[in-house]
Amino acid sequence: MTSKRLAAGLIIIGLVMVAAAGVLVWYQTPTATTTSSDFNDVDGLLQDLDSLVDLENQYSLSDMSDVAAD
Amino acid sequence: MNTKARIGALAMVALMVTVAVPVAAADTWSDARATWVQKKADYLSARADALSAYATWLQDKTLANKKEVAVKNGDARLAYLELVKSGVEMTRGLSDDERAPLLAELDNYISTLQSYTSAVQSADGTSAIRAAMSAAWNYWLSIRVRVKQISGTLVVARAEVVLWRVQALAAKVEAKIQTLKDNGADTTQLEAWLADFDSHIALAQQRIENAKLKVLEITDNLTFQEMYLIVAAHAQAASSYLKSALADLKSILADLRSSGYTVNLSGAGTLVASGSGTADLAGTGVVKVTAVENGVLTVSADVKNLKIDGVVMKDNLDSGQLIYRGFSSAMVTGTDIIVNISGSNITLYAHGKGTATLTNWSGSYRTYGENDYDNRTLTSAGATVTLETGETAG
Repeated sequence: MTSKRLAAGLIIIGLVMVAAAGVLVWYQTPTATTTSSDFNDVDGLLQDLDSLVDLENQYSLSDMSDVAAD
Repeated sequence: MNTKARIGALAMVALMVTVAVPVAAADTWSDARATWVQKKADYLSARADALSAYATWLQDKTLANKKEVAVKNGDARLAYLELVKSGVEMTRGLSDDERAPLLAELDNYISTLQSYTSAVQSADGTSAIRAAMSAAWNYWLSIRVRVKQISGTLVVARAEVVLWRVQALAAKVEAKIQTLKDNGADTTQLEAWLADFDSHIALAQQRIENAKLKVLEITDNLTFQEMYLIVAAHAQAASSYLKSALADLKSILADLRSSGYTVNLSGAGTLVASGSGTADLAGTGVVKVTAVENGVLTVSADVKNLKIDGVVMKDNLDSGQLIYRGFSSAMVTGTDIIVNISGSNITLYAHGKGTATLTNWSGSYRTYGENDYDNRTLTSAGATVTLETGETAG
């Protein structure tokens, strides 16, 4: 009986996961002219580039004086 | 558990794993990015503490305050090194072979700097405190240029991966446009957008090359910051051009889809190879070859979009293929194209979906696929790359 419950539980969890994945795929599938999801990866890469350049431009330890050098 | 229940459960577990694995893989980079954001916050917080301690010391120049500044500076530098390390971990475009030594190098800096900062913390007495602070400062001077160079390397790697990933996606679009053109469709507007895309890509590539050269000039304590800012300026310009190129690509795709055409961009990657030997390419997308010596190119006779320069001799082979000898540069675009290239000092770019086999290749190559960023140097060896994944066999 316990084994059957375990199997039933796994099946239910699996079905929920498959349904969630289905919703995810449906959500990400581009409509006729929607192109944003095609470029999620590249948009993310561009964000990574910009965020590093911005950070390094604005904040750098190299401009911090050190009292030991005074 | 009876047999049916057991089989059902096993099947469901397998299904769950199948669903979960891609989700986990997709999370790898977003997790790394989240870690980087946290490290950035940690660094900014530590830096603010250091500046606050410095302001206090300016008001009251006691030795205790001076020591506090040194300790806080040490903490901020450690947080900065952790940030750079996290940046190395999350930067796509670096191969594992490139990433591992950088991480080891930064780990070494972190542990050494930790020991210097601890020594300042525990120093007692004026001369001991001064000596510990001086040692920590001198150590920082000895590594900060190199750390900045690593940051420059990351900026370039991040720009390059966008450059090659965008072109991988564009290659599938270009192949589609070529097919439409072959079938008699009016592709004038699409080709105009493509020309715009190409010009933006060329400008971005030039800026990235400039940035790459400038990273090599981050070499001394006097000019390293100035050199880095030039790297950053080139990267910013490259980013701007890449955004324009991406906008061109989005316009093309929207236009194609609104006209009812199906274009699937997933499953595309880039191979960049340089060296001497033979390359066999099969797939859908764009193949570009520049700077070839003693070049021989073979394509099937039905390839319609071949641009080739410097041809000394053209022949029809019994197999129906066309062979071009002595060419200096070439570009082929299309669907299910087969291209064979051999020569010396070849620079080869393959964008799209398919395979590239390098034979007797003496040189190097990089891949920018959806799964992998490989970087290898070959000496008279062979390798087969799957463009869309970036993975290598052989």
